[in-house]
Amino acid sequence: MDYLYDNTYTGFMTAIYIHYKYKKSTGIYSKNEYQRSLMSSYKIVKSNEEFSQIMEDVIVERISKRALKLIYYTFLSSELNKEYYVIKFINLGLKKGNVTQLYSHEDTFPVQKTYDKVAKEKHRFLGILRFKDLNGILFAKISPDNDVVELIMSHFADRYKSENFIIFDEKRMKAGIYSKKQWYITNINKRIYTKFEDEEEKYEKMWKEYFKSISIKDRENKRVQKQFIPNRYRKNIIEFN
Amino acid sequence: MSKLKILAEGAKYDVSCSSSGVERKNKGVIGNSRSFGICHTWSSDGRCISLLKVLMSNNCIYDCTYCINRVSNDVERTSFTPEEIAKITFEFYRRNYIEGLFLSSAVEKNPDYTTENICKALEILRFKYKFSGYIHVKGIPNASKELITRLGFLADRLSINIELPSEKSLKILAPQKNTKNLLLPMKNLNNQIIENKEERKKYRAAEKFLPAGQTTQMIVGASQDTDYQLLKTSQILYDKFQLKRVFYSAYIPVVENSLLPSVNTKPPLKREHRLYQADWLLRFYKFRADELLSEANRNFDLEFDPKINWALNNIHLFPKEVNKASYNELLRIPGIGPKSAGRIVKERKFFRVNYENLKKMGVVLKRAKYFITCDGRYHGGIEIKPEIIKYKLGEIENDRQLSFF
Repeated sequence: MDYLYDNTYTGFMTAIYIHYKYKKSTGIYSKNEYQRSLMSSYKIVKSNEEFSQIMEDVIVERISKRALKLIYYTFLSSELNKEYYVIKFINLGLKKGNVTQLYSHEDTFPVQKTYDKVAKEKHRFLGILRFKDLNGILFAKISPDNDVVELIMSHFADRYKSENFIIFDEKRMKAGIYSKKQWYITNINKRIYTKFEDEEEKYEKMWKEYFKSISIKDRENKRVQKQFIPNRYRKNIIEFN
Repeated sequence: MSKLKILAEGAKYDVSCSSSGVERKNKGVIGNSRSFGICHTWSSDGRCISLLKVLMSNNCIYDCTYCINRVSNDVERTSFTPEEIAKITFEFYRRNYIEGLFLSSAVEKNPDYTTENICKALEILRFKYKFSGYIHVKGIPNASKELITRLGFLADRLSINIELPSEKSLKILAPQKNTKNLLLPMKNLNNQIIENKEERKKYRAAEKFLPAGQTTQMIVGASQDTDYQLLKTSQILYDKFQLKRVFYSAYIPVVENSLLPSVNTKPPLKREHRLYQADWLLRFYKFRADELLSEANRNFDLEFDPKINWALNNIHLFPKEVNKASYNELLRIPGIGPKSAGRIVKERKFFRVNYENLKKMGVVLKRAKYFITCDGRYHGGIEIKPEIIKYKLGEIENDRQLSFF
């Protein structure tokens, strides 16, 4: 039987818990992306905080703390088979212990690789995210490949602790909001309209001018530039527009 | 032209832009620092932009031949006020354009006047704006020790540029500088950094002095100096003054002068690249300068990288069995870096590592395969002779270069 979860991390963990505790599933899928085939039967798993917590504790105890981090990052990725990767990874971990030490093993490699990919994108967005001043609130729009908003919030919450800010993921219609020294993630179901002060344009212009003047003509190398900032990221980076 | 444009143009030949080396939570109102450094964008020359890199002023009293800001050059002159610098940095930082500030200056009036101004800008930024982000500052040669110390408590990193690795070249191209007035402040700073670390062990609240250390830069190709001289100098700076980085800057002719390469000379980018690779070998691969070059062999091969060259010159050490070689031995195999070496060492505790595993671990097999065995098996497919390996690697190198340019 396939287990379907509600697209949340808690739901995912609950499904894994039920998989090990009660009955092995034939596959775990997110409800939103599930494509039912004629042969398969499925069951919808209800998110359960307690079960999810138990599952997390088991992973930390039997495998390692790092393993939980790898699993969490994999969950946030846009990999199609991520649930399958995670189950394979946990299976091996429950047998062998701290398998985060293994990189190229066939059961750990997909999770390791996915983790690297998500961690790389997280790191990238610490740099390429751009805020605009929206009447005193900082506003940033992003469109990442993986669901990295919640991974970058604490960095910005510390950096701009005296500000209020919003990081809006236009692809997933969700936002990280930092206000009154706390942050949380919320879904956005309306279009966001933004209006900026003239002051904003002044700094954008200065920044673009700086961006141009800092480049050395005799060393031009757009190929490398593209490697570091692929086109798909450029629409939300002001110096490329 | 706007001030920002002029003073960014004047600063851009300084290559350092790293924002790494210090982990700090926000202690003020705005800003923190991450030890791994963060790049914010990449300019069209492919270089990363992490810090707002500007000059306080380009109004220079010196006349260093290679420098765009020298007094005899005809460029528009201008200066920022300390408040202007602080304000732009703050506003850029708030929007996450930058990771911090890299402030340098031409020598305006005299070294102390210039340094005093830089100090003021940093003080406004740190105390008025309560900025807790990254600051890299340039040390002006011949500034008083007191002023430099004041800078050290405001900035995370300080750099004094050597520019040229020999007294002789300095004399010809930068007569106002000499090795002594460049190296002495570096030595003093290093002592202060060490003292400060000791003090902080005793009093945890003691202020930090240059927590991200010091760096320097050398120009490549403006003088007759060899790669061996450059790399030896770097080695000494790492050993004696514990520098965090030495940067290399391919000389870009900005002026026609009989002492310098002509303005039509292309910047020696390939040579610069080889020096960076060798520098990496010193810092992360535990190589010594003398293993890579010698009096008899004073410049890097432009065709093959320094590590391959070293391996070919020491072919009697190969092939290495990846399941037996120590971490340090693995590091010396072409195609294996700290990351993949670490993975191999961890993983072989569980099972014997095979050729397929290596590929997944990120080993560059097209280079490594000539220098290793996996479980006793050699996958190179050719005799282990330098000329033959060179020929094979040359084919790869040619393919790569075709796509490169």
